[in-house]
Amino acid sequence: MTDVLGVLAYLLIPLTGIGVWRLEFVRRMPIAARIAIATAAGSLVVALVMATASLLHIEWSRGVLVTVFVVIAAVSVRLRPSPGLRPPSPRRGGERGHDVGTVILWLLTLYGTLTARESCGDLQFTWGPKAIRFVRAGGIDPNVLHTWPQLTVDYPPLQTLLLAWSNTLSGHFSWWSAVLAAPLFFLATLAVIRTWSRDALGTLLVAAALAWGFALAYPAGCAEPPLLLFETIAIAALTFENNPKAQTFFAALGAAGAVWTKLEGTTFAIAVVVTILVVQRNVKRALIVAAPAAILIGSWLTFIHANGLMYMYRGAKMPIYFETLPVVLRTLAKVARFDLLWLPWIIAIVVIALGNIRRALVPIAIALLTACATVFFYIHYPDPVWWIESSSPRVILTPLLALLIGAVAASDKVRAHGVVPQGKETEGSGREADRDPGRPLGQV
Amino acid sequence: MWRERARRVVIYAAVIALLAATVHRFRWLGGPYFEIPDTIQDHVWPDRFLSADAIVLSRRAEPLLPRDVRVTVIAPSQAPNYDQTHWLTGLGMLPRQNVVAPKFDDAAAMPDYVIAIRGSFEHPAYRLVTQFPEGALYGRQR
Repeated sequence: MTDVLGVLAYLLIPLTGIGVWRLEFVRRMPIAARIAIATAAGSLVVALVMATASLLHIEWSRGVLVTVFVVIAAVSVRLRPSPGLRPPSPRRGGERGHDVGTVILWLLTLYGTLTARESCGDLQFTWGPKAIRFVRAGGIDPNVLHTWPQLTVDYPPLQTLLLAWSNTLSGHFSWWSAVLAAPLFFLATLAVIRTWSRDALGTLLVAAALAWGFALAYPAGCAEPPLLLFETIAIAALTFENNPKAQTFFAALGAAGAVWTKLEGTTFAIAVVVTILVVQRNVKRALIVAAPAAILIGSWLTFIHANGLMYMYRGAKMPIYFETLPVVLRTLAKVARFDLLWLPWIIAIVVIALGNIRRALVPIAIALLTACATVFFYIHYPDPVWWIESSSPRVILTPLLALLIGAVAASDKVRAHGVVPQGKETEGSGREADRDPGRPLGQV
Repeated sequence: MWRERARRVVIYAAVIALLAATVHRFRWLGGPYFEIPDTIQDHVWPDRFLSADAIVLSRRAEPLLPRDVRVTVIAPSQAPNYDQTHWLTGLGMLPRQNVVAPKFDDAAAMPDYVIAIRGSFEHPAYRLVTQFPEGALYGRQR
């Protein structure tokens, strides 16, 4: 029963984020993508509600949290205007087979999770215990963090709060629901890529590469699965979406979610903002995208600073050991082999080379920036080999994901997605805007 | 046109290779293949991890442990450099107790109970409480 309720808690998350369905550019998406976007938004809503309750000294309980989330879901559904847009374009012939392949790869990941082949060690000695202690304290308790025996004291709270929500609903901590959240977020990630790219074959490649990456990196129960969903939403929106408002909204949602999910989420958000500035040359969008992420990470840093809990974030002040650079690069290259001679990377690069590289500039830029940020993290330790070997298989999933999205975007078959508002960026009214094949996406 | 064909061929080949590699890895991690395992760590490596036994032992010991006692989880074979992930695992598995780091050289810091994974824990201040298939529970003598 604990596990059933624990999983139910995750399945209910999209309901708390269903408010995003009010947005016209979300409403025109297929149902799978809408649920995926609501999952990301809902994860952020759940985390924000639980954090706010803690700040207001409202003790978490099943009654309190369920009531708040039901009210949020009910208000969101009630305010949702009736759909009046055309349905998504029908599936092209021959794509069904690729979609079936994608589902098979997802089922394989689900199998790996259900048989404890992809469980993250950090779940049982970091994320899980912290969530359990928070639930027993009735909220984010600085006293729990003051006595926390690891450096992860000030780690961003979203993943811990999702686990705590599941724990609150189920009564006891469900370790199985914690790991099963991974395939759920993975499915949402694939739905987002499939919808925006409309490329079943490209999505199949992403599914295969990430299924293998998950099998090697053990992310189930850790923060990477939700992080990858947030990152996918930001990268894919900036790559495939033609509606400028939609691009900005989704990039902001992805960046905001990422900064509250992992330490590396902040460097991802910075990479997104830099990419918007350099590749899209859009200062206004960069500022709007950065704002929610900055507010969220600023709030968290204020909380941990005010309570004297700054540990990991203080790493920014640590000395840089440039002499470790060759070791860092060598060790990272070894891990990036993915036990398959770098195949996932090579395939992504080959597929980009076979298409139009300019279309993939946004994801390529983010892949390069996040890869550089990973190296930058690791050269802060005098002897980083163990640290790299234990953490980087999961950390490098971010640049790999970005590169894979680039591989999808580079294809000639992939069309931009989106309805441009009437009388604005295009001459058409509600007409789908196709891309200029030679121009990078996202510069409408 | 040839590029799109080449792309298709490359992706098909990659997907087949990645799918085969994933299936092979799951098989390499060992069986049983169609049972929900006892713990979330049961099949993360072909050899059973001590951390999986830490989970099972914590579950077995929990009903025997009084509330709020100081307890730690160790693999005696690793003495004196115990893997900290074992007692940190206890942190989540034993929320009603006070799980602490294994310190046996300072009487004030010594835990009331020790959950020992595989092998016996030899220490003059502790006596065996009960034996489990995966290890044992020791209590401090007063």
